[in-house]
Amino acid sequence: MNRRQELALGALGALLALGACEAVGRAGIVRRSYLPPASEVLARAVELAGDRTFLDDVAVTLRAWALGLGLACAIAIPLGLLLGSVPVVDDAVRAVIEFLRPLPSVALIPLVSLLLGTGTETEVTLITYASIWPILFNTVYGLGETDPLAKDTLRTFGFGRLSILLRVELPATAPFIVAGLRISAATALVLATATELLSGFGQGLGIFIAQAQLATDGTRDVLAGVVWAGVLGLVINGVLVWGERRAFPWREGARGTRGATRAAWRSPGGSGARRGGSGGSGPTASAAGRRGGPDRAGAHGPGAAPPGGVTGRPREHGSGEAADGEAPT
Amino acid sequence: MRGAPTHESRRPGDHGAAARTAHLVGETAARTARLARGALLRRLVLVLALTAWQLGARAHGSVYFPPPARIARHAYDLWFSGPVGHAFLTPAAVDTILPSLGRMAAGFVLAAVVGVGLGILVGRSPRAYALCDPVLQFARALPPPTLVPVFVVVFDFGTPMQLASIVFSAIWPVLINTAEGARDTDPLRLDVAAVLRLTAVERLWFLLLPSALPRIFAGLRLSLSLCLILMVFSELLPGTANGIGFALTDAQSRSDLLTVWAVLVLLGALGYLLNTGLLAIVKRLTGKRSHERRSKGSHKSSRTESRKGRST
Repeated sequence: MNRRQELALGALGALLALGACEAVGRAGIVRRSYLPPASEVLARAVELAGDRTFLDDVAVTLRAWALGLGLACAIAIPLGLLLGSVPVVDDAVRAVIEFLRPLPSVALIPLVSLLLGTGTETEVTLITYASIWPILFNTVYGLGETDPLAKDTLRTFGFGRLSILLRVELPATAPFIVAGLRISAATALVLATATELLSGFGQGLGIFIAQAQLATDGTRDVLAGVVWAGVLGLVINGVLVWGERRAFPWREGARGTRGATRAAWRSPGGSGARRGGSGGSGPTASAAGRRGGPDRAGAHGPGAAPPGGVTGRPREHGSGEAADGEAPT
Repeated sequence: MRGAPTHESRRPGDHGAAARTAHLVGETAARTARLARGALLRRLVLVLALTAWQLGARAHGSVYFPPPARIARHAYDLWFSGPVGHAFLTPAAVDTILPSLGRMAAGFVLAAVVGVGLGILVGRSPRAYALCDPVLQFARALPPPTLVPVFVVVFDFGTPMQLASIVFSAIWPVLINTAEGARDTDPLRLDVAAVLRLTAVERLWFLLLPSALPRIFAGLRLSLSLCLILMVFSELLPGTANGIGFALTDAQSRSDLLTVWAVLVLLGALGYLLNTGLLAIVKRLTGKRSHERRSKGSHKSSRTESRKGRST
């Protein structure tokens, strides 16, 4: 099945789903004001796209989302690098982290709104708290997966701890961090809408939905808001996946076909020529490390192992967040 | 979370065998020492942090951050000081914790069963997968809390609405992961199954499920945390009469911070127990297989071996 057929089938599936919603809405299983048919909802959603106040609502939500996510990155990445490279700190802080993490972040909404009131601070705090974990755990996990040979090589050449961290470990961990960021981005959107839904006044996408719910005949507006929330989620995820592919093309190997992988995996660094011959592990490894590829196979000559198995894909391991299992391809 | 797989996936390269063994022995000893030190350090730091909080809260006397000892005491008084016959649960606990847990368990089981079933169906055929993929991606991209108001209108307040919210948000990770796992089944082995004329049920049991299992569990873990979140969230909304989330909003409206903290501790403990429980089940069920699959370097051979181990 080629790409075009897949797209056509996908469009057909979307149409079928819409048709089903339409049918349920029109059949009168539930009252029409309770569950309006899909066409009305979509028309309303399109109409909302030109609505100034609605766009302001979305902008407010997105701003809180971006702020919270940015703060989470600023906290989680350095902390993850610290935890992953200094075992003593890891041991010391781990218990506190394990203590904090299982708490469902939505449950913090009442406490934080009592502490900070219902405003942007509350929202950003909650988003930050919930988004820290995936990034943090993926960073620590990615550091553990760095090619030890590349690190040893740099050490042999007299590089210090910090420059090894910056030259080898950080680039090698970057794909993991971005995968964590993608999970966090979705979580952040969940928290943003959840907080707004509960606070009930002010501005934001969630507040638009909460207020529409109170109006008579408001389900159509609620559903239109939900459609936009879904579109936001899709766009955010799509942009991040696209960015991931652009920035780390070799990671595609973990997903794509083997043959295509090898080509994609050799091209970016251009170190294929050096790799030829008897698998000179030293220079290749450090080149791979500097290039940022979690490119373990490169250290052992070409074809030693299928590259699909060694690219930096976070596998489910330990915590659910470190798993990229949910990720679409 | 790190450590264990590294020395396995590291290839010997041009090290000598003896050097490698020595290295491994050294590494093991070092790791044991580190683990012992780590366990000690962890407890120490946790105790220190709690003590600092306790002392700080007492010195400050802040209403917002009560000392941990009082929170624990309050939680105990609220929920766990009941008679022995009721497993030490107070009537308040029976009213609060059990309904929540019941809804969550029902939602999770429903989402898991339906998700795995549909996922296998969708993942079996490339056409079905292409057909459903955009819809599934959209459904998963929806932030689940936004749908709760819709369910509030469509279903009755209370359990039906909460159950619908939980199931609708928890089903997507399982469904998508199962579909991808089933889709990744080795085509060669599907051919072998066709040659051996395995029935559909046998193919499902011996081929599709085992190969999708690691992905299914990854999906289940994501679903479980979503279930917990949605359980709390759906109870936070007005119109619920019982449950942990209700206790939380109730305490919030009375500005009873001690109870808010106690509920948070309870939820944290619940989250921890549920996650650990599911992990233990996963370990038991997948055991070696998921581990082998993880080192995909020797992808095919290890998987075939694990299959052999299963059928004997």
